Amino acid sequence: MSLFVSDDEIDEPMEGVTGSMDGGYIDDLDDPVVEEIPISFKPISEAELYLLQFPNKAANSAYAKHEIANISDAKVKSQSGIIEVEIPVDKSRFFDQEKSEKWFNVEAQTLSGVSSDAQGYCAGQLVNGELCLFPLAKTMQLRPSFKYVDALRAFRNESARATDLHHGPDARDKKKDVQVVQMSMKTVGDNAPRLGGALQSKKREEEERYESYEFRAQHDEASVSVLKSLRQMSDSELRLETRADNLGGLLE
Amino acid sequence: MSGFSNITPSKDRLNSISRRPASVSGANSPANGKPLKFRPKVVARRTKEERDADAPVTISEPSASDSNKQRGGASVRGGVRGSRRRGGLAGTHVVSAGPLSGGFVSIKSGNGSTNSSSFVKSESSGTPDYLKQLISKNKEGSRSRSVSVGPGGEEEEEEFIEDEGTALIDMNKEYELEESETLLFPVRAPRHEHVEYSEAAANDAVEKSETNESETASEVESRSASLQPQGSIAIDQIADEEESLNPLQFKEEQDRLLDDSEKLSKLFTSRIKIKTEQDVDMDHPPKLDIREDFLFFQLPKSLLRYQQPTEETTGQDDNDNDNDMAIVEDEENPAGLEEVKKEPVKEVSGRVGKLRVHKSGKVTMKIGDVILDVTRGGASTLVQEIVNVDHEKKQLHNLGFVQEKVIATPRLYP
Repeated sequence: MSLFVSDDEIDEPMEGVTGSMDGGYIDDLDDPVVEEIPISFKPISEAELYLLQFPNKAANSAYAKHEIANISDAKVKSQSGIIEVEIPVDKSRFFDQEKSEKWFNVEAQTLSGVSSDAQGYCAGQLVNGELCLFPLAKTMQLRPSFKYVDALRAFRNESARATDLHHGPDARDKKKDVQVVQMSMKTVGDNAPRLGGALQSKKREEEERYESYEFRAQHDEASVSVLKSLRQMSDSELRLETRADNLGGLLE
Repeated sequence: MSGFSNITPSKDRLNSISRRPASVSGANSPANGKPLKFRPKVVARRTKEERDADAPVTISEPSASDSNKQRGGASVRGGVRGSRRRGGLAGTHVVSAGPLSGGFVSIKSGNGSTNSSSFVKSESSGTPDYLKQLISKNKEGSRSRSVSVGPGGEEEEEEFIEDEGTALIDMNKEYELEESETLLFPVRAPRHEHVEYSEAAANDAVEKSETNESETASEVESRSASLQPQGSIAIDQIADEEESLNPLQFKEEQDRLLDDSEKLSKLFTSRIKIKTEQDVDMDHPPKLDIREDFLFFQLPKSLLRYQQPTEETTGQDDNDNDNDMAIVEDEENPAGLEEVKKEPVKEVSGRVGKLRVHKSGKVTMKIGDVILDVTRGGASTLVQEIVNVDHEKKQLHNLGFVQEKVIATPRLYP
């Protein structure tokens, strides 16, 4: 307890110094500044930073971070802003081989998500007593995608249709039926209005192909070098446009 | 009108309610002359055989082979009532779903069991070693009794003879498992107990009196005294905005703000201390460096518009205001994609302001000449990471995990 009190006493002479440095704002008189940390900002860099959130991974679990470090495969649709990653499943415990086989040998958890633009978000890190801010380009949530379930269903539908066509009692009639349906679809499609926003982007997403990316974990050499180059800040001052007399502009 | 007045206040109308016995009973009574009485219908009590026939069927003695299915499957679906082992649940909070529901989960130790409806999928991968230990522990107590209330109302005692290789997990016991073994266990959502405002106040008072008596009293007092000015400024603002806050809510809000600002200031100051220690220890500075987590900052999106510091700006001094980030990016694009690829994006960086930790524990930022109040954002329980997407090399780099969210709000009050 005595330590706390004495700390304050030591700090008091410092206040005068920092207060004068600040140019004496009204609030500082009430509540003097004890410590100052310079803020550096890097608005443009080579790095394109994303904030990835994993809603099904608990932050306090070491295993979740271990899983993320072990991401085996990453695929990106850069135009549609979609990222899909695969996390291998621990097969030694609580793993149901039967189920896995049922879904065509699922052995990884697939997480995917769509990015959205980040405005006003920064990643901050304290480097050598200096707060470095790096603007984030996108934020996105990676949620489990159960595409293996769809794959199984699609497979079943496909095989059911195949057996119907070839072995059904009136296979030829059915074939005709299918054709009729296709015809009517076509005529409707001609008159139909263009796809709306959501459907359009969905269509675009489906047409775009995944590009395979390499995922580098936190302590990987490549990641470390990126982080290092990111942290290199110039010592010069970056003049900002925002002024205290135009605060209303900040609330856009 | 005359017709109306001729109508006498109807006695008949109210007969049934008030005057039945006195004035009307003679006229309206049944032929035998006795007044009507409400007579409840008596339902004859059924015999035990009839009751037993209607009662739900209970399986009295399950065979050893399907006892696994009974306990694992039935308790998951049927909840507590379906479980025959009610005695074992005393004093526990029963989870109605999930692998730990219904009190007991039994696990077969041998491979190759065909029982696939059991929730715990131990069959395909075998019982983990740490659960096998439980089996041996449970062997001496393999005969267990449970009491259930039968349909006849009398207590029936059932006796179980467990499989040799079956481990019982008793929810009343606390098992000590190592963290590495429980990694794949389901995560439970944290439970928050609701406290009424009046209760919170009472608890608070108790706490205060306790701390005053304790040795740290002076410390607590000094801290709360030092935190006062910051709290009062912030709270004044809240009070202006929402006069509907009752005093207890008001106090709660105040406490929360103080708590947050204290945590924030600790976050920044402790980090700096770590930094200085690293500087002293020159052997492994970079390693410690990289391990540091990120903070997620939310700033006003138009705050960080900057004026380009290089010579390029000199030609454009006349349209100073449009010279923001978007414009800078646009300037590079018309030059053509190839050119951009040839020489890497010109990095722009520099000092923009200061983060200030106040004596009270409050944290503010001064960016340009704007002062921003720094507050803690909502804590999240999910993993968040900062990733660099390199489209050229087709790589994703995990740069680190996010620890806290920090919100900076421009100060609009003097």
